[in-house]
Amino acid sequence: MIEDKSHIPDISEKMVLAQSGDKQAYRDLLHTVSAELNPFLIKKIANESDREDVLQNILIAIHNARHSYTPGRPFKPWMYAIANHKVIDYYRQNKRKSDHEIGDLETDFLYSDETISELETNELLEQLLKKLPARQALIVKLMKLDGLSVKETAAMMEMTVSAVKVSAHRAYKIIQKEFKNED
Amino acid sequence: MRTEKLIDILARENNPVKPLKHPLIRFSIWLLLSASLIVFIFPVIEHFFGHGFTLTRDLTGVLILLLSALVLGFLAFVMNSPVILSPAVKIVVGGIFFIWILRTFLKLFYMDESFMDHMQAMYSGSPHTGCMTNTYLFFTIPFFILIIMLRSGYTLEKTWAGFYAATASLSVAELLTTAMCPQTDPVHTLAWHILPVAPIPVVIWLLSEKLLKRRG
Repeated sequence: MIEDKSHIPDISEKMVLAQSGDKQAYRDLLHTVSAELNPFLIKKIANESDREDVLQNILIAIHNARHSYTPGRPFKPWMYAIANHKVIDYYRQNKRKSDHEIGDLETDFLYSDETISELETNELLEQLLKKLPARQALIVKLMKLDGLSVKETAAMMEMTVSAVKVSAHRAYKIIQKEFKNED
Repeated sequence: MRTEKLIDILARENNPVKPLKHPLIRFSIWLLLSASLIVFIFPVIEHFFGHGFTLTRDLTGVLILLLSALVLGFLAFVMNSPVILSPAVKIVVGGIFFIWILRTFLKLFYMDESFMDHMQAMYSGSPHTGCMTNTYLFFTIPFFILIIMLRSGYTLEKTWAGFYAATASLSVAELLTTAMCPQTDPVHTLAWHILPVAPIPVVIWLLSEKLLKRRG
């Protein structure tokens, strides 16, 4: 039989490939998920920046939950269950926002506002994130750019608070070293 | 950060993962493991507290508890992977265990003697702590196996799943205790089988966020 080389894997097949460690299939899958969820999120969330934040939270949740997808079962109900849950989380957090203070950030460099503005306006950030191990880069992204607290980052990453602090501290050491090298 | 960048980071971090097995397979493993461990410790329990094992003393009660253990245990595994369940389904299914409790209350309602006098006599007489101890012991085994197994999945609604895990395990425990206990008096069931373990689902419900936090 001749193999059909023009076969484009559907979203479920991409997920199965991603579970086996195929980075390209996973990248494609996350792009497809983003495109698929965009109209869904437009209906649910009016603010564009919030919408992007929620989309990113959904992608992180999909990443953390990717082992829980059972091959052979439909992918979309699985994906929409996560998306729905994250939208509900967003509404809950918005409700609580008035009581919320981002005041529990502990580690020096990573948590100072000066550093945020410095890093955000600096093209160096993108290079720095690439130099960090992926998990540490994600933690820096969540804490520095999305403004999540250590506790919120830990909940998002499904890690303990102390594990997040350790990762953030290690990332800080790498960033500090890179800064010194730049100088 | 733009979503594009996040996708890059996540793709970079993507290592092979072992997909979870079908909920039915995991549920069967749970049943098998729990049953094996219970059979293993059963002679010890029977030696200290037992009065013979029979399922026919209260067959209806046993069947309700069996249904509750099976349905709620299976649902805990279904919810261990992202899924949308309607609130009505969650409430109706969660209520199966309470049919058994309701049945005990209905039996009390049809009793000739005053319930309070009977209850007072039950607690002031010799304590039937054997039934209570059995229920706690029989609860612990399936519950801990279930929690360990559920921690390897990804539960979105942890409070519901925790509650189902607790009631499924409690159903197993109540089933075995009922089968071992020679008394069919509803006051005894309420005083020594139900009330001492009543806080369990509530405590588990409160702790479920921590209990079901994923390993690693």
